[in-house]
Amino acid sequence: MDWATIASVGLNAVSSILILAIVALGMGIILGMMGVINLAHGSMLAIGAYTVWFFQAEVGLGYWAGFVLAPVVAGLFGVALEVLIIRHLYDRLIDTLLATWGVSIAVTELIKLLIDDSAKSVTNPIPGNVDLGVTTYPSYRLFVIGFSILLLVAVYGAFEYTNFGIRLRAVLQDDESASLLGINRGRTYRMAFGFGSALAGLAGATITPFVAVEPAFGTNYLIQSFLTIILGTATTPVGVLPGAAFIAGLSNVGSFVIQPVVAQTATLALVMAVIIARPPIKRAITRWRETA
Amino acid sequence: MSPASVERRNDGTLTVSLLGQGVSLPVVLKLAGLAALLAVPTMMGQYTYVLTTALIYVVFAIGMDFVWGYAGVMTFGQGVFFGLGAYVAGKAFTENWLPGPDLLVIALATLVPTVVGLALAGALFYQRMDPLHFAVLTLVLAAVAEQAATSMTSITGGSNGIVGIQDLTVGAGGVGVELGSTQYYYFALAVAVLAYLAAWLMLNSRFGTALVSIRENERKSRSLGYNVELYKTLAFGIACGFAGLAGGLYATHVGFISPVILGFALSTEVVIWVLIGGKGTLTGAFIGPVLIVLLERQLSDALLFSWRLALAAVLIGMVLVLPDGIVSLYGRIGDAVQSRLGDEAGAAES
Repeated sequence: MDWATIASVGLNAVSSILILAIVALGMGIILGMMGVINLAHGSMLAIGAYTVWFFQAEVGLGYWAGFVLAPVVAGLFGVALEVLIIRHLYDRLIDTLLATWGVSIAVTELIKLLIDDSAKSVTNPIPGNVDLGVTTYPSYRLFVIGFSILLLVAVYGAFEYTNFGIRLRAVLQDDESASLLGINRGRTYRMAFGFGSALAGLAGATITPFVAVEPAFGTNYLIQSFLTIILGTATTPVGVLPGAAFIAGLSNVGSFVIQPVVAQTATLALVMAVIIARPPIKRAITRWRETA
Repeated sequence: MSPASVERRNDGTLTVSLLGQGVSLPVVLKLAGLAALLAVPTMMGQYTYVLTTALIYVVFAIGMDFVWGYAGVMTFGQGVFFGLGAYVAGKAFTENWLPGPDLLVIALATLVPTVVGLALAGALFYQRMDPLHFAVLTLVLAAVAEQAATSMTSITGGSNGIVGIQDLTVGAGGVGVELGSTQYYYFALAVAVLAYLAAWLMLNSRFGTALVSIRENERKSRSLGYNVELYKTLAFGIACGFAGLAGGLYATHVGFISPVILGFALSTEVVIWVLIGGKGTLTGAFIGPVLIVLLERQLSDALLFSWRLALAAVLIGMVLVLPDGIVSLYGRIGDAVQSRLGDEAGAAES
């Protein structure tokens, strides 16, 4: 294997890791704040991706119009989901799983019904390659890496320094006390749902030029971002990175060595094994520390 | 006294007196349902095949209800164990793993998923995994299983699956009957009723009471000395056994299997069946699959592309409006009747 291949495989892995981090962050905020595991989170990616496709291929306004609108559409869908369904189920958390899974199926089927079953492709808005010295690399992928880093930094900044972020973190830490201090809990919930969904929608829009856009394509991201959340503490932009690096990195590099489907399956199986084995290993380490 | 009359006992159950014998109304309704199912092959022959499938799904749904409705453990991955049973049966039949009677293969198809389920659930429950996380992990399991079955072509036949699985022969020692469609229907009905009774017996034992107490208040049950992890693991294993049994029967009934039965689709459907029938009631697990399979047969032509959309809408609607399923309507109607009767009695007294 030469350096050129290693560099391009590595850069591919980095872009996948950053995308997964954004998706998982949206899911993690919703889970951390409301205890809801939003199984319709994958649908937000699909909604974002189809928004881009729709504006480029059907309306003809071009890629960037869809790119800007994708998070808006997904965010509004998230808010609607919260208002119409989730709000009524905060005291029955298991039932939120059922309802959001139902929504996820419904979105997939609606896309099949309204558009069709076939995979759509979106034209790359930044064609061409950039010469990086060791290898030439697609310009759009470099844009994705830069944009994702900017987005994560922006989310971090919004969390730390804006009023919205402070409210969000307050409710995230202790929603009871926060609401006693005069923060409107219900409204913060709704905004968090919209915010998380918008992040996923934007991620979905970003990846459209290099994936096949099909009705169920969010499911894979749903599963990966859930595992990312379990592997780390995924309510901050930094906290999602290790889990995302582990999952997306492994399946990306694995896809280069063996068949992509096999690599993905093996990664998921490995992550499940890690989740099962982690507590016994932790216990063993504490015991070892105590004796040493 | 007339030969048949309805009266209300002191404990509030409606009782039908038939020729001097008092039988509670739910039992009468259940027996009537069973009689209707017994009459299907002679009265409505065109439904025999599809209802055989429904009855196999009933076994599957009873297991799901056992672990979800009674033990309170939500899982989105029961299709994995159904599919595992089906694949074990399919491989065993097409490659002649076991020499003995066919039912031995079905027993193997029940056993393997039980063991796998016990190991998996044990590993997760004993680390005190959050129930929501457990549920989503089972969803991941369904994704992994479907992908694995599709990509391991040499073992599972890939996306073509396994074809040409033989019909079931019931009997032993050279004397056996290969089941035709009508016989298979009655066989499936017998298995479904036996599964119902087995689940009922388990749930009405101390084991079942402990499961319900864990569902209602896990912390309290733990402090009363119940080994919560052990009970939940056992309940999950039993559900996987029911799923595997159903999967094995499905493989011999339909004759071919493919990775679809391992994945999300069936795992979600079993949740919907139990939810519609009514979780936490075995009767609901019986009604759900039969109702949905019949509806699908009637409506899927009209709703060719939107059947799954309709199912998803039903899933959301049930969670929001009727989380205890169709069976809970019986209680609601009973309460409404009682309150009206009570009002009339009150009016008469005053």
